[in-house]
Amino acid sequence: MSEFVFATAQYESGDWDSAPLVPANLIDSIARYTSIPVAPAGVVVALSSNDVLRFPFLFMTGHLPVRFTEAERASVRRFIDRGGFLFIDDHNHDIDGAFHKTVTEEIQRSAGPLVTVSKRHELFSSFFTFPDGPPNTSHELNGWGDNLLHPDLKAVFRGDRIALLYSNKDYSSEWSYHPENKRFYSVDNTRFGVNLVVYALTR
Amino acid sequence: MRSRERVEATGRSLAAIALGKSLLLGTAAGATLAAVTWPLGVGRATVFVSLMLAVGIGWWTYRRARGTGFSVPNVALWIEERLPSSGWKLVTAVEDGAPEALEQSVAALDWSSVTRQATQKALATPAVALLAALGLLATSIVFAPAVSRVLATRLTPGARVPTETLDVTVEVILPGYARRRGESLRNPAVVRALVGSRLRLSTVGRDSLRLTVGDREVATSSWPVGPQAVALRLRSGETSRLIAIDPIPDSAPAVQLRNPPRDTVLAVAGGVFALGADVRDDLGIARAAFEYIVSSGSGETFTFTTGSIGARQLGGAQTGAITGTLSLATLNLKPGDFVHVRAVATDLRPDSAAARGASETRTIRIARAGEFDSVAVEAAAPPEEDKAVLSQRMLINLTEALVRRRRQLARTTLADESRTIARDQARLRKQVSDIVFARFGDDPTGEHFHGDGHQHEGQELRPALTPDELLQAAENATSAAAGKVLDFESDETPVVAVNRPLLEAYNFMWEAGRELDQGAPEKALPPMYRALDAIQRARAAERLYLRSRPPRAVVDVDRVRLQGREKGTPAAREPREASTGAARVALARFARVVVLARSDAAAAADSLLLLRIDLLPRLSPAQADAAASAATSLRAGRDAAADLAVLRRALEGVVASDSMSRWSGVR
Amino acid sequence: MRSRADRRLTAERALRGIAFAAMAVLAWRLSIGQPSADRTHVTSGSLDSALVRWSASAPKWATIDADTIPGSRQRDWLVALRRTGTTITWSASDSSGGAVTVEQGPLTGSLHRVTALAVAGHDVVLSDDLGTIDTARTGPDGIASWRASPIGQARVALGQANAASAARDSLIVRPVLVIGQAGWESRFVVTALEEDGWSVMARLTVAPGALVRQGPAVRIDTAELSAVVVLDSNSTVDASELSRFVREGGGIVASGAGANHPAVRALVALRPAPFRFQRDAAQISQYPVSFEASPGAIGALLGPAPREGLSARTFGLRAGSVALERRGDATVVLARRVESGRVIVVGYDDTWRLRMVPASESAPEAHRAWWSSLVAGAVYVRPVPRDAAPVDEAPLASTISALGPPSALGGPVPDMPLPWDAVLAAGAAASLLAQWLSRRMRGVA
Repeated sequence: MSEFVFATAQYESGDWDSAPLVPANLIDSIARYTSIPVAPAGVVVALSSNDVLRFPFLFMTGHLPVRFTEAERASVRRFIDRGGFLFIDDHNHDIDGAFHKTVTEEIQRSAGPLVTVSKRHELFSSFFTFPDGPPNTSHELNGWGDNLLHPDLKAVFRGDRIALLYSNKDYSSEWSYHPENKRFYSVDNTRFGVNLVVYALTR
Repeated sequence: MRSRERVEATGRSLAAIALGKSLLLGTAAGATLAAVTWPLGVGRATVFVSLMLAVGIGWWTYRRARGTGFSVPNVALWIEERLPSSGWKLVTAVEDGAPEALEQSVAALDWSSVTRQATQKALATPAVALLAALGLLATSIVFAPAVSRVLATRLTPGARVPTETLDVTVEVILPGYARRRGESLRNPAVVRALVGSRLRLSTVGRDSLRLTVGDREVATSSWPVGPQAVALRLRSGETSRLIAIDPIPDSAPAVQLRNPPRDTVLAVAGGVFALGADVRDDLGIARAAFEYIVSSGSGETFTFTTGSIGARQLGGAQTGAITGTLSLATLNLKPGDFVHVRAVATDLRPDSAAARGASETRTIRIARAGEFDSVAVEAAAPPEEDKAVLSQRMLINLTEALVRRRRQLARTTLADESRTIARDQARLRKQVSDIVFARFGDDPTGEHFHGDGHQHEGQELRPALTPDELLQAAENATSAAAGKVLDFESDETPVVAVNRPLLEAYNFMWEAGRELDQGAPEKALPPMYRALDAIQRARAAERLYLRSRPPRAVVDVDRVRLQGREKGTPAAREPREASTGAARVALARFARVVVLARSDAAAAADSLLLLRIDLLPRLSPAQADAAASAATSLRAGRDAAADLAVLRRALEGVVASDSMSRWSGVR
Repeated sequence: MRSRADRRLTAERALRGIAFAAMAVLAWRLSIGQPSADRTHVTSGSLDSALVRWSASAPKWATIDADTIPGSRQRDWLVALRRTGTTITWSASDSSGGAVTVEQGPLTGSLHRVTALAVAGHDVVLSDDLGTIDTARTGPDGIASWRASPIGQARVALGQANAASAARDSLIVRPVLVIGQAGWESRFVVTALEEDGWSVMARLTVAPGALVRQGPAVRIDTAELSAVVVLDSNSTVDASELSRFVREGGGIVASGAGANHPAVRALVALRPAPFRFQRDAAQISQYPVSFEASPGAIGALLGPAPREGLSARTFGLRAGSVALERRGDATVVLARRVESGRVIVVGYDDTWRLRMVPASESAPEAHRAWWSSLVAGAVYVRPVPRDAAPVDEAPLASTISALGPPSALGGPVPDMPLPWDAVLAAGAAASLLAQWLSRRMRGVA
């Protein structure tokens, strides 16, 4: 039985590698809370290549504006149509910034319309229960003092399943720390990441 | 020859003519009947009846032609009637015992012309009739299959009797911006029109036209074409007609960026780029321009500026090109900045949001300082500590503000505010320490690391190192570890190259925090400045690692397996809907259409049009056309089997194989 | 020397006489009724009208030269005739025969399986009430099979014969239970089965004590489930419950690591570890089925046979097991009956790659169809007969069983008898007409 491999998408137009610690952090969380066999290190796979099809869970983040090439667009479309799960997170802590505007446009072009995920969606109870919907990140709450809250996640659905999840809550910053430091947080803030992975693996 | 004998000969000729005439007419009649009944199927009965008719007509004709008979006196009389020059002597002359003188006088008479005329008169028309009848028979035989089909469809009860359908004219009025004439259709089954067109519906007759869409009745005679395919039912009096509307969406313009042809990395932020793009649209292009986004910054702080170059109104042309120049000097670019350029065009549609087409994006990047350094193979990820810059600046601002207000504040308030800032400083210091000590791969709680001489529990604790000692120990460790392979998996983790400025910043922050805790913000300011300065220097040292690629953080999965404090409680899974269910429902509906087509073709055509609308996204254009022509054929009473077969193949993929699996169908 | 007129008179009298004689004979024949023809001979084209004729008066011996094998209605009619005493012999120029069957798919709306048997390498045409569905060429065994949904009866033109068949029962199928660990394999297997219409219940282990369930917790019993799919070797499954389920008719599909599950091993006696060494007789007898690891061919996932690219366990085959798929000499997919039930063991690992990786656009459909067929091969269904139109599945065989074997080709063909009645009537009429014409020409009567 193959193990779960955390794949980060490398795309042409921006800083795709801006959160190198997120894969290790989430892999650590998966190992801590579940018995799912998981590869100890993540992989990087080019979004325009067919290799994305070997890793049905893909993580994508960045700060800079996102402009997909035709190959990347086709690859995203095929990946999602076949049953893959793509998680895109805006690494900027802003509202309606360049990443958000450009990536939402690209998502509409490649995958389909973005729909708000209801707070009662099974994504929020797929492993841990988040009764209020997506957990807020510390940046949103008080880290910078600007109280920019993004209340909802958006997703592209295939049938009634989430195929592409888009978050502008900046989970990439929230989870960008070495997993060794996890014990010092009273509440593990990567638990939502576990929900995402378990949702992708079971739904 | 004696005249009597001549008259007898004539009599025989007349008899033959009569016989000929009757034969010709009889045959003509029989052939005509056969020609008429041939398409209905040749059976023995038909042949028999035709034969009987021929014989009957022939007999009757012969009786009439013969008249009283062809005896000699009759024939002589006949000749005399037609030959005035005979002088009415012939009848007497042919009698027995006629005087010889009479015989002589009639011997010169020549009535062969009379006979000839009689022959022609008698036989011409029947001959023509016979030829015509034979021609008709031949035609009938040749066209029998088609005629019989037509007759069968006309006469079979119920199947193809055309129901009363409404006679409707549909006029398609294209939207204004399309700049094209519409068309007018008579009784169409499917109307294909551009989204945004208007359909004007009219009918002959006195009753008004009522429009039903779905189950809504709309009191209008014009219908706007929306983006969805619909079926309109038009009613007038007792008659109705179903029309399917196929919307043709107006596609966005296709834009191709010719220049710059590739992404570029520039060492210097200067120069001029020539921009060029080609635009194409099916109806007409309104406006085209180049757009650029300049991203400036790094780490967590970015600023974005956007702009537009070379905008041009193309006024509805179907193809066009735009050019422009991008001068980098005007953009105030710094090392590390990105410029994303693309071309955008809108077509003539009024809602411009839907009408935009965009090209691929080209990225122009200004190289970071030291990027082309031969030792740096790949730039590392933007360092995390950049977020500390802003915060440190913020803390300095807050502290300076506090110091300025020191005079007005009470002692306790000052101490409280100072401690608040101290808490933030401590948090910031913790973040920096995460980076510094996490890179050691070691336990950062105590903020110590292997190689600094600490000992674990069971031994007496050494006092905490002073910042300078810490620095010294780090340097020792660094030099000792130079050249060792980075490996996080063993327990004895070697020390990675330490970012010295970062460690200094850390120490300064510690000092500042101590001062702030004691309520002396003015004493905290100098270390804060030095901490900020150290962080700036840390930013400048791009290469944090001995190698250019940051070491992958490899998780020791077995060590942490199931060590989490919390337990998950996954919710139940909801079943998916069957994706192939829609195809099967469609096939069942299609089967019903086929069954219905045998009894009520018009209703089957309507059901087929409704099914076609539901399947339109899945059908190829050829299949959609086949469905439309099948509906038209059903309505016209023609055979629609070929088109229905094409549609059927679209609905189910028939998979054939040439061997049997060994175990009941497992493939 | 008789004059012309005299000769003519004599001829007329003679014609009159002939006419009367013919009419008399005709009247006599009609009064005594048709004597039955001794031998009659028909071809397929005229069989229908001949049957109608023979039903009025049957010949002693009827020979049918069947260039088309008689249909079921004609066959029944001939059997009835035979029972009244007529001897019927028939011959066919093509004695190859053929048959067609239609089997209902396991799910409502599943495609049926239509299988045609004919001469190897021949083209057969599948059609139904609407028209032609498909044309296919039979393989080396003479088999052509389709997954299709015929409307009404499925008809196959097998050379000379036309066979027709329809699905004669519908099947009651219960849900399928998928047991495994949370992972890509279980996720894509459940997805594929659900997309194809199966009702799926699931028990997927995420963590100890944390199960993702779908559907109510049910016992593994043929009253609740049709099949169980086992995808990992660690899930808790009551081995005795599973064993009873299979023995009572249930189906198990064990795939990948599931082939190593203790409960499955107990049923199919798979040897747990790969062994590459000499097997001694004791080992062979104790473990009737053994397996070894076989890596996938590199790059095969993108080619025409994607399953070759999967890594797999291969099994040695022993008596009682059927190999469904092979890799080289070894078996990769194994099927075995266990009392009333069936067990299918699939050696492939990570079959989800068949859905994601291949370049072909129909990869998900192929993966779905393959998994659906695996489950359909093991599943426990209860057939419910339903009314179907009478079928004619094997025309040649039915004809042989009804009428006996065909006579040798090239036998003596009996002459066609003359239709005496028609001849007599025609002769009478002709003579009368002729003599009347003659009289007319004379000018008399």
